Amino acid sequence: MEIQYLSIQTQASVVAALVYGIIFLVLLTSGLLLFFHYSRRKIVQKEIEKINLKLEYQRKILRTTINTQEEERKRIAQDLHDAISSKLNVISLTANMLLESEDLSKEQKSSVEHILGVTTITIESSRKIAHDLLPPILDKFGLKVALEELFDDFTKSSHLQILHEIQTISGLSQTKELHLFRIVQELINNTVKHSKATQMSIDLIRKPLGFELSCKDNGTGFSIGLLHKRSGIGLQNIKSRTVILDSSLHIDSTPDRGSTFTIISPRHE
Amino acid sequence: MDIINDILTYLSLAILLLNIFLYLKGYSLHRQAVVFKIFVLYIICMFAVLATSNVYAMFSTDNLYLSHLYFISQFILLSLFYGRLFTRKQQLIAHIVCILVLIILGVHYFMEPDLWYTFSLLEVFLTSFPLVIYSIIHLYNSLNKKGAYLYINAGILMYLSSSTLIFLLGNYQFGLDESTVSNMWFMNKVLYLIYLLLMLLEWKYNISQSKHKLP
Repeated sequence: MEIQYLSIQTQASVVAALVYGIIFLVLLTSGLLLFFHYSRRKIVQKEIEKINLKLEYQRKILRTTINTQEEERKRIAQDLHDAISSKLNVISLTANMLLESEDLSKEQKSSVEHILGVTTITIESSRKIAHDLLPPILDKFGLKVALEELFDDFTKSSHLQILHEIQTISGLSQTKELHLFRIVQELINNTVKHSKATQMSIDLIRKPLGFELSCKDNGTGFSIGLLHKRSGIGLQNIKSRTVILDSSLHIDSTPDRGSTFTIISPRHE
Repeated sequence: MDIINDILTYLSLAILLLNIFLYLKGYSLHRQAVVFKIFVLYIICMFAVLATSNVYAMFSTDNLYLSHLYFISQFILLSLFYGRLFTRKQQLIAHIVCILVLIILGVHYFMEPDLWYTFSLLEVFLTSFPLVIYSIIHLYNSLNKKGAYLYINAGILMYLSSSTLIFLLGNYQFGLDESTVSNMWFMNKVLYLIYLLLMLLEWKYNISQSKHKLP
Protein backbone atom coordinates (compact mmCIF):
# COMPACT_ATOMS: atom_id res chain seq x y z
CA MET A 1 0.00 0.00 0.00
CA GLU A 2 1.41 3.36 -0.96
CA ILE A 3 1.20 5.84 1.83
CA GLN A 4 0.95 9.47 0.88
CA TYR A 5 2.40 11.59 3.66
CA LEU A 6 0.62 14.82 4.48
CA SER A 7 2.61 18.02 4.17
CA ILE A 8 4.44 19.22 7.29
CA GLN A 9 2.06 22.18 7.55
CA THR A 10 -0.99 19.91 7.49
CA GLN A 11 0.62 17.60 10.07
CA ALA A 12 1.30 20.53 12.37
CA SER A 13 -2.28 21.76 12.04
CA VAL A 14 -3.65 18.27 12.80
CA VAL A 15 -1.49 18.01 15.92
CA ALA A 16 -2.44 21.54 17.02
CA ALA A 17 -6.15 20.78 16.50
CA LEU A 18 -5.74 17.60 18.49
CA VAL A 19 -3.88 19.27 21.36
CA TYR A 20 -6.41 22.09 21.61
CA GLY A 21 -9.28 19.64 21.31
CA ILE A 22 -7.93 17.50 24.13
CA ILE A 23 -7.17 20.51 26.35
CA PHE A 24 -10.69 21.76 25.70
CA LEU A 25 -12.23 18.41 26.60
CA VAL A 26 -10.09 17.94 29.73
CA LEU A 27 -11.02 21.44 30.92
CA LEU A 28 -14.66 20.85 30.08
CA THR A 29 -14.84 17.57 32.01
CA SER A 30 -12.85 19.05 34.91
CA GLY A 31 -15.30 21.96 35.01
CA LEU A 32 -18.19 19.55 34.96
CA LEU A 33 -16.68 17.55 37.83
CA LEU A 34 -16.04 20.72 39.85
CA PHE A 35 -19.59 21.91 39.19
CA PHE A 36 -20.89 18.55 40.38
CA HIS A 37 -18.67 18.64 43.48
CA TYR A 38 -19.80 22.11 44.59
CA SER A 39 -23.47 21.54 43.71
CA ARG A 40 -23.42 18.33 45.70
CA ARG A 41 -21.84 20.09 48.69
CA LYS A 42 -24.50 22.77 48.55
CA ILE A 43 -27.32 20.23 48.31
CA VAL A 44 -25.91 18.17 51.21
CA GLN A 45 -25.60 21.35 53.29
CA LYS A 46 -29.26 22.20 52.59
CA GLU A 47 -30.27 18.65 53.51
CA ILE A 48 -28.36 18.93 56.81
CA GLU A 49 -30.07 22.25 57.54
CA LYS A 50 -33.44 20.62 56.83
CA ILE A 51 -32.69 17.68 59.13
CA ASN A 52 -31.46 20.03 61.89
CA LEU A 53 -34.65 22.04 61.60
CA LYS A 54 -36.69 18.85 61.85
CA LEU A 55 -34.69 17.72 64.87
CA GLU A 56 -35.13 21.09 66.55
CA TYR A 57 -38.88 20.88 65.93
CA GLN A 58 -39.01 17.36 67.41
CA ARG A 59 -37.00 18.55 70.41
CA LYS A 60 -39.47 21.41 70.89
CA ILE A 61 -42.42 19.00 70.79
CA LEU A 62 -40.64 16.72 73.28
CA ARG A 63 -39.94 19.62 75.62
CA THR A 64 -43.55 20.77 75.45
CA THR A 65 -44.84 17.22 76.02
CA ILE A 66 -42.67 16.66 79.08
CA ASN A 67 -43.46 20.10 80.48
CA THR A 68 -47.19 19.51 79.96
CA GLN A 69 -46.82 16.14 81.66
CA GLU A 70 -45.16 17.79 84.65
CA GLU A 71 -47.85 20.51 84.78
CA GLU A 72 -50.53 17.86 84.73
CA ARG A 73 -48.81 15.89 87.47
CA LYS A 74 -48.62 19.03 89.57
CA ARG A 75 -52.32 19.75 89.00
CA ILE A 76 -53.37 16.19 89.90
CA ALA A 77 -51.17 16.26 93.03
CA GLN A 78 -52.71 19.60 94.03
CA ASP A 79 -56.26 18.30 93.39
CA LEU A 80 -55.54 15.14 95.35
CA HIS A 81 -54.36 17.24 98.26
CA ASP A 82 -57.02 19.97 98.12
CA ALA A 83 -60.13 18.15 96.99
CA ILE A 84 -59.76 14.51 98.05
CA SER A 85 -57.41 14.41 101.04
CA SER A 86 -59.14 17.33 102.78
CA LYS A 87 -62.59 15.72 102.30
CA LEU A 88 -61.27 12.40 103.54
CA ASN A 89 -59.87 14.19 106.61
CA VAL A 90 -63.37 15.57 107.28
CA ILE A 91 -64.78 12.02 107.05
CA SER A 92 -62.06 10.80 109.38
CA LEU A 93 -62.77 13.56 111.93
CA THR A 94 -66.52 12.91 111.77
CA ALA A 95 -65.96 9.19 112.23
CA ASN A 96 -63.77 9.89 115.28
CA MET A 97 -66.48 12.13 116.73
CA LEU A 98 -69.08 9.44 116.13
CA LEU A 99 -66.91 6.88 117.90
CA GLU A 100 -66.88 9.05 121.00
CA SER A 101 -70.70 9.09 121.07
CA GLU A 102 -72.30 6.76 123.65
CA ASP A 103 -75.57 6.35 121.70
CA LEU A 104 -74.03 3.94 119.18
CA SER A 105 -74.63 0.22 119.39
CA LYS A 106 -71.75 -2.26 119.23
CA GLU A 107 -72.42 -3.09 115.53
CA GLN A 108 -72.65 0.59 114.63
CA LYS A 109 -69.34 1.32 116.40
CA SER A 110 -67.69 -1.53 114.53
CA SER A 111 -68.95 -0.11 111.20
CA VAL A 112 -67.69 3.38 112.07
CA GLU A 113 -64.30 1.91 113.04
CA HIS A 114 -64.21 0.15 109.69
CA ILE A 115 -65.01 3.43 107.89
CA LEU A 116 -62.26 5.15 109.90
CA GLY A 117 -59.73 2.45 109.01
CA VAL A 118 -60.53 2.56 105.27
CA THR A 119 -60.47 6.37 105.31
CA THR A 120 -57.05 6.43 107.02
CA ILE A 121 -55.63 4.01 104.44
CA THR A 122 -57.13 6.05 101.59
CA ILE A 123 -55.70 9.31 103.03
CA GLU A 124 -52.26 7.65 103.24
CA SER A 125 -52.52 6.31 99.64
CA SER A 126 -53.64 9.67 98.31
CA ARG A 127 -50.74 11.38 100.14
CA LYS A 128 -48.30 8.84 98.68
CA ILE A 129 -49.68 9.27 95.15
CA ALA A 130 -49.49 13.07 95.44
CA HIS A 131 -45.94 12.77 96.80
CA ASP A 132 -44.89 10.52 93.90
CA LEU A 133 -46.48 12.84 91.37
CA LEU A 134 -44.66 15.86 92.72
CA PRO A 135 -42.45 15.66 95.82
CA PRO A 136 -43.45 18.72 97.87
CA ILE A 137 -40.00 18.78 99.41
CA LEU A 138 -38.51 19.70 96.01
CA ASP A 139 -40.59 22.85 95.89
CA LYS A 140 -39.97 23.73 99.54
CA PHE A 141 -36.34 22.76 100.19
CA GLY A 142 -34.73 22.30 96.78
CA LEU A 143 -33.03 19.51 94.85
CA LYS A 144 -30.36 18.47 97.38
CA VAL A 145 -32.87 17.73 100.17
CA ALA A 146 -35.36 16.12 97.75
CA LEU A 147 -32.67 13.77 96.41
CA GLU A 148 -31.50 12.86 99.93
CA GLU A 149 -35.08 12.03 100.86
CA LEU A 150 -35.41 9.95 97.68
CA PHE A 151 -32.23 8.00 98.55
CA ASP A 152 -33.56 7.37 102.10
CA ASP A 153 -36.87 6.09 100.70
CA PHE A 154 -35.12 3.65 98.35
CA THR A 155 -32.61 2.50 100.99
CA LYS A 156 -35.48 1.74 103.39
CA SER A 157 -37.64 -0.09 100.85
CA SER A 158 -34.93 -2.15 99.09
CA HIS A 159 -31.56 -3.79 99.72
CA LEU A 160 -29.82 -1.06 97.75
CA GLN A 161 -27.20 0.99 99.54
CA ILE A 162 -26.84 4.47 98.04
CA LEU A 163 -23.62 6.43 98.61
CA HIS A 164 -23.94 10.03 97.53
CA GLU A 165 -22.38 13.42 97.27
CA ILE A 166 -24.88 16.08 96.26
CA GLN A 167 -23.64 19.62 95.86
CA THR A 168 -25.97 22.58 95.63
CA ILE A 169 -26.13 23.91 92.08
CA SER A 170 -26.94 27.57 92.23
CA GLY A 171 -28.94 29.22 89.49
CA LEU A 172 -30.71 26.01 88.43
CA SER A 173 -34.36 26.74 87.62
CA GLN A 174 -37.17 24.81 89.35
CA THR A 175 -38.08 23.07 86.09
CA LYS A 176 -34.49 21.93 85.55
CA GLU A 177 -34.27 20.74 89.17
CA LEU A 178 -37.41 18.70 88.59
CA HIS A 179 -35.94 17.14 85.40
CA LEU A 180 -32.75 16.22 87.27
CA PHE A 181 -34.80 14.76 90.11
CA ARG A 182 -36.82 12.67 87.64
CA ILE A 183 -33.64 11.43 85.92
CA VAL A 184 -32.14 10.27 89.23
CA GLN A 185 -35.47 8.70 90.23
CA GLU A 186 -35.62 6.81 86.92
CA LEU A 187 -31.99 5.67 87.18
CA ILE A 188 -32.50 4.30 90.70
CA ASN A 189 -35.76 2.64 89.59
CA ASN A 190 -33.93 0.96 86.68
CA THR A 191 -31.12 -0.21 88.95
CA VAL A 192 -33.55 -1.72 91.46
CA LYS A 193 -35.65 -3.35 88.72
CA HIS A 194 -33.00 -4.72 86.35
CA SER A 195 -29.44 -4.68 87.66
CA LYS A 196 -29.53 -6.66 90.95
CA ALA A 197 -27.08 -4.09 92.32
CA THR A 198 -26.33 -3.89 96.04
CA GLN A 199 -24.55 -0.59 95.96
CA MET A 200 -25.00 2.60 94.04
CA SER A 201 -22.98 5.77 94.07
CA ILE A 202 -24.64 9.03 92.97
CA ASP A 203 -22.74 12.29 92.71
CA LEU A 204 -23.97 15.68 91.61
CA ILE A 205 -20.93 17.88 91.24
CA ARG A 206 -20.89 21.60 90.54
CA LYS A 207 -18.71 22.70 87.62
CA PRO A 208 -17.53 26.25 86.80
CA LEU A 209 -20.50 26.85 84.48
CA GLY A 210 -22.57 23.69 84.65
CA PHE A 211 -22.76 20.43 86.56
CA GLU A 212 -22.02 16.72 86.27
CA LEU A 213 -24.30 13.99 87.52
CA SER A 214 -22.92 10.48 87.71
CA CYS A 215 -24.73 7.31 88.80
CA LYS A 216 -22.66 4.17 89.16
CA ASP A 217 -23.83 0.74 90.28
CA ASN A 218 -22.25 -2.66 90.89
CA GLY A 219 -25.06 -4.58 89.17
CA THR A 220 -25.18 -6.99 86.25
CA GLY A 221 -24.56 -4.31 83.60
CA PHE A 222 -25.58 -4.68 79.97
CA SER A 223 -24.29 -4.57 76.43
CA ILE A 224 -24.19 -1.03 75.00
CA GLY A 225 -24.80 -2.44 71.49
CA LEU A 226 -28.09 -3.97 72.61
CA LEU A 227 -29.07 -0.73 74.34
CA HIS A 228 -28.69 1.20 71.07
CA LYS A 229 -30.97 -1.30 69.33
CA ARG A 230 -33.79 -1.14 71.88
CA SER A 231 -34.10 1.06 74.89
CA GLY A 232 -37.10 1.09 77.20
CA ILE A 233 -39.46 3.94 77.99
CA GLY A 234 -37.47 4.75 81.15
CA LEU A 235 -34.24 5.30 79.27
CA GLN A 236 -36.05 7.22 76.51
CA ASN A 237 -37.41 9.48 79.21
CA ILE A 238 -33.91 10.04 80.61
CA LYS A 239 -32.59 10.85 77.13
CA SER A 240 -35.43 13.30 76.46
CA ARG A 241 -34.89 15.09 79.76
CA THR A 242 -31.15 15.23 79.10
CA VAL A 243 -31.89 16.98 75.80
CA ILE A 244 -34.18 19.44 77.58
CA LEU A 245 -31.36 20.16 80.06
CA ASP A 246 -29.04 20.89 77.08
CA SER A 247 -26.73 18.22 78.44
CA SER A 248 -25.07 15.10 77.10
CA LEU A 249 -25.65 11.57 78.35
CA HIS A 250 -22.79 9.06 78.45
CA ILE A 251 -23.44 5.43 79.21
CA ASP A 252 -20.67 3.03 80.08
CA SER A 253 -21.47 -0.58 80.86
CA THR A 254 -20.22 -4.11 80.33
CA PRO A 255 -22.09 -7.29 81.28
CA ASP A 256 -21.36 -8.36 84.90
CA ARG A 257 -19.34 -5.23 85.60
CA GLY A 258 -22.00 -2.69 86.53
CA SER A 259 -22.86 0.48 84.70
CA THR A 260 -22.24 4.20 84.86
CA PHE A 261 -24.53 6.93 83.59
CA THR A 262 -23.02 10.39 83.36
CA ILE A 263 -24.88 13.55 82.49
CA ILE A 264 -22.75 16.55 81.73
CA SER A 265 -24.19 20.01 81.42
CA PRO A 266 -21.60 22.46 80.13
CA ARG A 267 -23.74 25.48 81.02
CA HIS A 268 -27.04 25.50 82.87
CA GLU A 269 -28.06 29.14 82.82
CA MET B 1 10.15 10.63 23.30
CA ASP B 2 10.15 6.90 22.54
CA ILE B 3 11.65 6.13 25.94
CA ILE B 4 8.97 8.22 27.71
CA ASN B 5 6.28 6.54 25.63
CA ASP B 6 7.62 3.11 26.58
CA ILE B 7 7.87 4.06 30.25
CA LEU B 8 4.26 5.29 30.18
CA THR B 9 3.11 2.07 28.47
CA TYR B 10 4.76 -0.19 31.03
CA LEU B 11 3.79 2.08 33.94
CA SER B 12 0.14 1.93 32.80
CA LEU B 13 0.28 -1.84 32.54
CA ALA B 14 1.91 -2.08 35.98
CA ILE B 15 -0.70 0.20 37.61
CA LEU B 16 -3.50 -1.66 35.85
CA LEU B 17 -2.08 -4.95 37.16
CA LEU B 18 -1.78 -3.41 40.64
CA ASN B 19 -5.41 -2.27 40.41
CA ILE B 20 -6.50 -5.80 39.44
CA PHE B 21 -4.58 -7.22 42.40
CA LEU B 22 -6.02 -4.68 44.87
CA TYR B 23 -9.56 -4.98 43.54
CA LEU B 24 -9.39 -8.77 43.73
CA LYS B 25 -8.10 -8.40 47.30
CA GLY B 26 -11.13 -6.23 48.10
CA TYR B 27 -13.39 -8.89 46.60
CA SER B 28 -13.74 -10.70 49.94
CA LEU B 29 -15.08 -7.47 51.53
CA HIS B 30 -17.74 -6.92 48.87
CA ARG B 31 -18.96 -10.38 47.89
CA GLN B 32 -22.54 -9.16 47.36
CA ALA B 33 -21.58 -6.16 45.20
CA VAL B 34 -22.59 -7.01 41.61
CA VAL B 35 -21.43 -3.65 40.16
CA PHE B 36 -18.04 -4.16 41.77
CA LYS B 37 -17.76 -7.62 40.17
CA ILE B 38 -18.59 -6.14 36.73
CA PHE B 39 -15.90 -3.52 37.16
CA VAL B 40 -13.30 -6.11 38.22
CA LEU B 41 -14.18 -8.11 35.09
CA TYR B 42 -13.80 -4.91 33.03
CA ILE B 43 -10.29 -4.13 34.29
CA ILE B 44 -9.23 -7.76 33.78
CA CYS B 45 -10.50 -7.59 30.16
CA MET B 46 -8.72 -4.27 29.62
CA PHE B 47 -5.48 -5.72 30.93
CA ALA B 48 -5.79 -8.78 28.67
CA VAL B 49 -6.38 -6.60 25.57
CA LEU B 50 -3.59 -4.13 26.40
CA ALA B 51 -1.06 -6.83 27.28
CA THR B 52 -1.86 -8.78 24.08
CA SER B 53 -1.62 -5.67 21.89
CA ASN B 54 1.76 -4.80 23.46
CA VAL B 55 3.07 -8.31 22.82
CA TYR B 56 1.88 -8.06 19.18
CA ALA B 57 3.52 -4.64 18.87
CA MET B 58 6.78 -6.10 20.21
CA PHE B 59 6.79 -8.66 17.38
CA SER B 60 5.65 -5.99 14.89
CA THR B 61 2.43 -7.90 14.22
CA ASP B 62 -0.68 -5.94 13.22
CA ASN B 63 -2.73 -5.47 16.39
CA LEU B 64 -5.29 -2.98 15.10
CA TYR B 65 -8.17 -5.47 15.16
CA LEU B 66 -7.68 -5.73 18.95
CA SER B 67 -8.99 -2.16 19.20
CA HIS B 68 -12.44 -3.44 18.21
CA LEU B 69 -12.28 -5.96 21.02
CA TYR B 70 -11.20 -3.15 23.35
CA PHE B 71 -14.00 -0.75 22.37
CA ILE B 72 -16.79 -3.34 22.22
CA SER B 73 -15.89 -5.15 25.47
CA GLN B 74 -15.43 -1.78 27.23
CA PHE B 75 -18.81 -0.61 25.97
CA ILE B 76 -20.67 -3.78 27.04
CA LEU B 77 -19.08 -4.03 30.49
CA LEU B 78 -19.34 -0.33 31.33
CA SER B 79 -22.95 -0.28 30.07
CA LEU B 80 -23.69 -3.09 32.52
CA PHE B 81 -21.72 -1.25 35.21
CA TYR B 82 -23.75 1.95 34.80
CA GLY B 83 -26.99 0.07 34.17
CA ARG B 84 -26.72 -1.44 37.66
CA LEU B 85 -26.09 1.99 39.20
CA PHE B 86 -29.03 3.63 37.41
CA THR B 87 -32.71 3.83 38.29
CA ARG B 88 -34.98 1.22 36.72
CA LYS B 89 -36.02 3.49 33.83
CA GLN B 90 -32.46 4.61 33.09
CA GLN B 91 -31.31 0.99 33.28
CA LEU B 92 -33.86 0.00 30.63
CA ILE B 93 -32.68 2.82 28.34
CA ALA B 94 -29.01 1.78 28.83
CA HIS B 95 -29.87 -1.81 27.91
CA ILE B 96 -31.79 -0.73 24.80
CA VAL B 97 -28.89 1.54 23.71
CA CYS B 98 -26.43 -1.32 24.27
CA ILE B 99 -28.44 -3.72 22.09
CA LEU B 100 -28.98 -1.08 19.35
CA VAL B 101 -25.26 -0.18 19.20
CA LEU B 102 -24.29 -3.86 18.97
CA ILE B 103 -26.82 -4.44 16.16
CA ILE B 104 -25.58 -1.37 14.23
CA LEU B 105 -21.93 -2.46 14.61
CA GLY B 106 -22.81 -6.03 13.61
CA VAL B 107 -24.48 -4.80 10.41
CA HIS B 108 -21.61 -2.34 9.83
CA TYR B 109 -18.90 -5.02 9.94
CA PHE B 110 -21.04 -7.49 8.01
CA MET B 111 -21.46 -4.97 5.18
CA GLU B 112 -17.80 -3.87 5.17
CA PRO B 113 -15.53 -6.58 6.65
CA ASP B 114 -12.41 -4.63 5.60
CA LEU B 115 -13.15 -2.10 8.32
CA TRP B 116 -12.08 -4.76 10.83
CA TYR B 117 -8.46 -3.88 9.99
CA THR B 118 -8.80 -0.11 10.41
CA PHE B 119 -10.06 2.27 13.05
CA SER B 120 -13.79 2.48 12.61
CA LEU B 121 -14.90 6.01 13.40
CA LEU B 122 -18.50 4.86 13.77
CA GLU B 123 -17.46 2.23 16.30
CA VAL B 124 -15.33 4.69 18.31
CA PHE B 125 -18.20 7.16 18.42
CA LEU B 126 -20.98 4.65 19.15
CA THR B 127 -19.10 2.85 21.92
CA SER B 128 -17.67 5.93 23.65
CA PHE B 129 -20.33 8.61 23.43
CA PRO B 130 -23.05 6.67 25.34
CA LEU B 131 -20.52 5.91 28.11
CA VAL B 132 -19.71 9.63 28.48
CA ILE B 133 -23.44 10.35 28.72
CA TYR B 134 -23.87 7.54 31.30
CA SER B 135 -21.11 9.00 33.44
CA ILE B 136 -22.83 12.43 33.37
CA ILE B 137 -26.17 10.78 34.29
CA HIS B 138 -24.44 9.01 37.18
CA LEU B 139 -23.04 12.34 38.39
CA TYR B 140 -26.54 13.82 38.23
CA ASN B 141 -28.00 10.84 40.13
CA SER B 142 -25.34 11.24 42.83
CA LEU B 143 -26.06 14.92 43.47
CA ASN B 144 -28.29 14.48 46.51
CA LYS B 145 -27.06 11.15 47.86
CA LYS B 146 -23.86 9.34 48.64
CA GLY B 147 -22.79 8.38 45.15
CA ALA B 148 -20.94 5.15 44.42
CA TYR B 149 -17.72 4.80 42.40
CA LEU B 150 -17.35 8.56 41.94
CA TYR B 151 -13.56 8.47 41.40
CA ILE B 152 -13.96 5.80 38.72
CA ASN B 153 -16.78 7.79 37.17
CA ALA B 154 -14.63 10.95 37.06
CA GLY B 155 -11.86 8.92 35.40
CA ILE B 156 -14.23 7.47 32.82
CA LEU B 157 -15.68 10.88 32.01
CA MET B 158 -12.30 12.56 31.63
CA TYR B 159 -10.52 9.73 29.82
CA LEU B 160 -13.27 8.66 27.46
CA SER B 161 -14.27 12.15 26.34
CA SER B 162 -10.66 13.12 25.56
CA SER B 163 -9.38 9.81 24.22
CA THR B 164 -12.37 9.51 21.88
CA LEU B 165 -10.99 12.50 20.01
CA ILE B 166 -7.59 10.81 19.66
CA PHE B 167 -9.16 7.56 18.48
CA LEU B 168 -11.39 9.42 16.02
CA LEU B 169 -8.20 10.77 14.42
CA GLY B 170 -6.67 7.27 14.54
CA ASN B 171 -6.96 6.71 10.80
CA TYR B 172 -4.94 9.85 10.13
CA GLN B 173 -1.86 8.26 11.64
CA PHE B 174 -1.10 6.60 8.34
CA GLY B 175 -0.70 10.02 6.77
CA LEU B 176 1.45 11.45 9.56
CA ASP B 177 5.14 10.96 10.30
CA GLU B 178 6.17 8.73 13.18
CA SER B 179 6.97 11.44 15.72
CA THR B 180 3.55 13.06 15.24
CA VAL B 181 1.83 9.72 15.73
CA SER B 182 3.97 9.13 18.79
CA ASN B 183 2.88 12.51 20.22
CA MET B 184 -0.77 11.63 19.64
CA TRP B 185 -0.50 8.37 21.59
CA PHE B 186 1.58 10.03 24.28
CA MET B 187 -1.39 12.24 25.15
CA ASN B 188 -3.64 9.20 25.26
CA LYS B 189 -1.25 7.39 27.58
CA VAL B 190 -1.08 10.34 30.00
CA LEU B 191 -4.89 10.48 30.14
CA TYR B 192 -5.08 6.73 30.64
CA LEU B 193 -2.59 6.97 33.50
CA ILE B 194 -4.78 9.60 35.18
CA TYR B 195 -7.77 7.25 34.77
CA LEU B 196 -5.82 4.39 36.39
CA LEU B 197 -4.72 6.62 39.27
CA LEU B 198 -8.35 7.60 39.89
CA MET B 199 -9.17 3.87 40.02
CA LEU B 200 -6.46 3.53 42.65
CA LEU B 201 -8.03 6.39 44.66
CA GLU B 202 -11.40 4.63 44.45
CA TRP B 203 -9.80 1.54 45.95
CA LYS B 204 -8.07 3.52 48.71
CA TYR B 205 -11.10 5.53 49.85
CA ASN B 206 -13.98 3.15 49.23
CA ILE B 207 -13.15 -0.39 48.18
CA SER B 208 -10.50 -1.11 50.82
CA GLN B 209 -12.89 0.03 53.57
CA SER B 210 -15.17 -2.75 54.74
CA LYS B 211 -17.57 -0.22 56.33
CA HIS B 212 -18.52 1.09 52.87
CA LYS B 213 -21.29 -1.02 51.43
CA LEU B 214 -20.83 -1.04 47.67
CA PRO B 215 -23.59 -1.69 45.15
